[in-house]
Amino acid sequence: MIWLDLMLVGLILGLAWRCVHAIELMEAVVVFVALGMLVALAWARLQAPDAALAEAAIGAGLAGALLLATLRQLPAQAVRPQPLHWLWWGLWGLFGVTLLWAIGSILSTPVSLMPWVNTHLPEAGVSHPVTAVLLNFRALDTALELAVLLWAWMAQRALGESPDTSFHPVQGRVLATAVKALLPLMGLVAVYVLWRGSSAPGGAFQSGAVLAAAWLMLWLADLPGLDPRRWSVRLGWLGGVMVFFLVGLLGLVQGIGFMGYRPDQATGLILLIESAAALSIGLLLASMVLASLPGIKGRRA
Amino acid sequence: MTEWGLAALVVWPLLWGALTLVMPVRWAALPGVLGGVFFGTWVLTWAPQSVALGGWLPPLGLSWRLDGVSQFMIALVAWVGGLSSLYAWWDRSLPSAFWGLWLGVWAAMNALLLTADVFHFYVTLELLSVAAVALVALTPGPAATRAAFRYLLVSLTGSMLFLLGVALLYGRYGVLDMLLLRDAMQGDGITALALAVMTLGLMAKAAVFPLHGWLPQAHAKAQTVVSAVLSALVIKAGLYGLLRLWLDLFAPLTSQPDSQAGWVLALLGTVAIFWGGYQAFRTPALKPLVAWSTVAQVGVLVLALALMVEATTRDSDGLTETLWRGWVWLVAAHALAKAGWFLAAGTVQKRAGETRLAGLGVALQRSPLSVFAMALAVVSLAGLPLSMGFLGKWWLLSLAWELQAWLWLAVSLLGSLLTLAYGWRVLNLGLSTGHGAEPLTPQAPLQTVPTRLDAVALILSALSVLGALGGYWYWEAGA
Amino acid sequence: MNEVVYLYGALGVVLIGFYGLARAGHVLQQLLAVNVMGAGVFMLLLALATRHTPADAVPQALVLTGIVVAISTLALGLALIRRLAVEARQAEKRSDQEALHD
Repeated sequence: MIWLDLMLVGLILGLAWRCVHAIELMEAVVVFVALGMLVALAWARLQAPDAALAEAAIGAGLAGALLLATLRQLPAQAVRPQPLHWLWWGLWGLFGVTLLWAIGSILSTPVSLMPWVNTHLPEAGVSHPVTAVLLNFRALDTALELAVLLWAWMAQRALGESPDTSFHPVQGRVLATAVKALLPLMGLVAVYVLWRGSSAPGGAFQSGAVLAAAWLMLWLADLPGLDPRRWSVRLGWLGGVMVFFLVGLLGLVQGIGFMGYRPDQATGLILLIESAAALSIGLLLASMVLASLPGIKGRRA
Repeated sequence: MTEWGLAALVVWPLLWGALTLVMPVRWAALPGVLGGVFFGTWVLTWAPQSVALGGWLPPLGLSWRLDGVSQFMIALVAWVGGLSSLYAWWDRSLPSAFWGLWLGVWAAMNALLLTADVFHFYVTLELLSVAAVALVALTPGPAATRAAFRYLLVSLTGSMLFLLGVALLYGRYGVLDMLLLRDAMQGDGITALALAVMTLGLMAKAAVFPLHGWLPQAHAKAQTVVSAVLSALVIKAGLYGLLRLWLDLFAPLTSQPDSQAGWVLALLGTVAIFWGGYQAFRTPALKPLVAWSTVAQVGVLVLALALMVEATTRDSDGLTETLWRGWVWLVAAHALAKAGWFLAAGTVQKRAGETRLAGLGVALQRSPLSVFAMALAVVSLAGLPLSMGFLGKWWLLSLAWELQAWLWLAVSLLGSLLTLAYGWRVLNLGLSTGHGAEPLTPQAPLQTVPTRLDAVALILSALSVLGALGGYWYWEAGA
Repeated sequence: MNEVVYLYGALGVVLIGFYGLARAGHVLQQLLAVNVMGAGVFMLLLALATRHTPADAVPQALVLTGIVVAISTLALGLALIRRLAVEARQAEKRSDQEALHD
């Protein structure tokens, strides 16, 4: 199996090299998306299926959509690489050698936080360790990360982009019917992925990515779904952050401490947070992609 | 009770900031700002403490740590942020998107100042960057967009370097909590490398020479109040991180008697003082002048950090109360003065509809409050006697004196002279009666800008001088 | 044992990202290079996690957090790039009009 790993890493390095060396932007973008997929594969090999799923869906999929949408709005121009000074090469080489040498000293250092995770997993309310870390042990990380996503969307809106203006989506009854048939299925998948996250790989992020795809389809088929003038959509953007912090404050009321759960309520509260987070992540990611699409909507000057 | 307060420091501005998306913006901004000031002031009365979030003790969980440094920095954010918000409230040219983004910056600053976990520090840095970059981009036009993009890129690279350091620390010690890391810290190569990459990352964010290139554009092109909070507060996040790294987290490494690493910081600080000062002296426009002055002042703060590191190598007490109190004082004096200067400069530029110094003469003479504000800011930044900056400078000079670091002593004195020199360029125009050294070019009619904007700038600058009155209490409490 | 391959591979990706950032000739490529660097750092964390069996869940959670942060910053960067393009077009239009009037 070492050959498989060597090949995979070789491919990843090759694609990374290709991505930064591409002469055309289109090539760089396509290679970047491919790199994301291979990286996801590598992470699956590293026993990190949660991260692999998220990377494939968000890091490669949605990032790819955003990149391609942006690319269409850029004037065609040749990429002229910057010449690099020999001094730069020296520093880069020094940095590289130091890094490689330093990592050699910790190849088999037996440090890990897993024993602590295992000790407290029974009190965490979920049996999947990654979900327990994300939603319980290090909940504030996750809450603030939802805030980063929300603020990135706020920033995009502040830059004058928003999916609210008139658009001409892909029309057609066949598409609309197909989407109508698919949507319940995607909803089901999202709920399943979310539910599964409490005991196996999956959870709010992966579920949110599925929901984002569902919303994008809704919009492409011209079905009502994402008009930000609707209160439900606006509340959906903030829902994840709001619910997360309100539950966090509930922990204070109950005397567990900020961002804490009473052990007997942990499962339910975590599921509540995850549902709100998945909805928010889905809505925010879909809104970001929609707002980035070229030529379909009027742009505020 | 204080845990409620600590939670409110982060949650309050964050929730009201988020609510700006669904409520009339000012209705959400007002409680957000008032609460932020309230909690940020209240924090001064709380005892230093650690809180394990969710009841999970490190290394498993995240923890918050409130100590003297974070207490005073949070209060500083509240006061400078509160007064800047007042300016923003009255500034009619400001887009309403400002408020949500600014409350995000505020929450991120508080979270960053509280956290005792290196990975969580990274997350707060990113929240801060996203909101701050968007604030720069509030100014329409390609120049601001380019500046914002450059700021984003530098900021992202800095974050990635920081995260690389976090990964190395995790790989070496298996924990992410700062206190646990400090206790486990060994003087080996990988630890030194982690310190190096994390320092580099934070230096990019704090615009420490030679990674300062993005700052003059980003701070000069931004909306006036944005320039003020970026220069006065956001820059300090990176500097605060450097303080934590060098004098706390990596202290076992940096305080070894033979450690010379501090001098690298001192050297960079020195170059920043001269280069920033020189550029401020020759740049043709007002706000870039103030922005370059920030580059120089960051140099002063880095030089101070280096001297503090040097002090800890000579005696074993580590980060003593006198040391951090002096540094925080210097930071506070700079934040107040710089916020006041930027607000005054922006107000004058608005009035003139012009950015070049040469065209600002009449507007300056019609803005006595702003000119006074700028004069006070220069007085404090240069550390002239009886000002708040003077006490900070005095502390810095006595530290250099104790260390017998004559060269750095001379550098800090020269830095003050440079500050006076570029400050005088502006004041000369404002105070002269029309036949000064620089001829006044014909003016377009002045815009009407309410005087209360000048007044807010003056309050901030006045605080940067009058803050000296609080010196007795502040220093005695530390002794 | 296999994780050693990924450890060194991850560092390689970080270094390539760095190099790409320095040489990039276009804003979009700069943004991509930073993200390549990020992928390398994430991979480093995950590879370090596998030194323990089963793999340490904490770095995996950190990487999940990192992925969402990365897409957020990427989205912001791309929005800025789009605005640059819009403003460049507007400037072009304006200079065309000025040329007509001259």
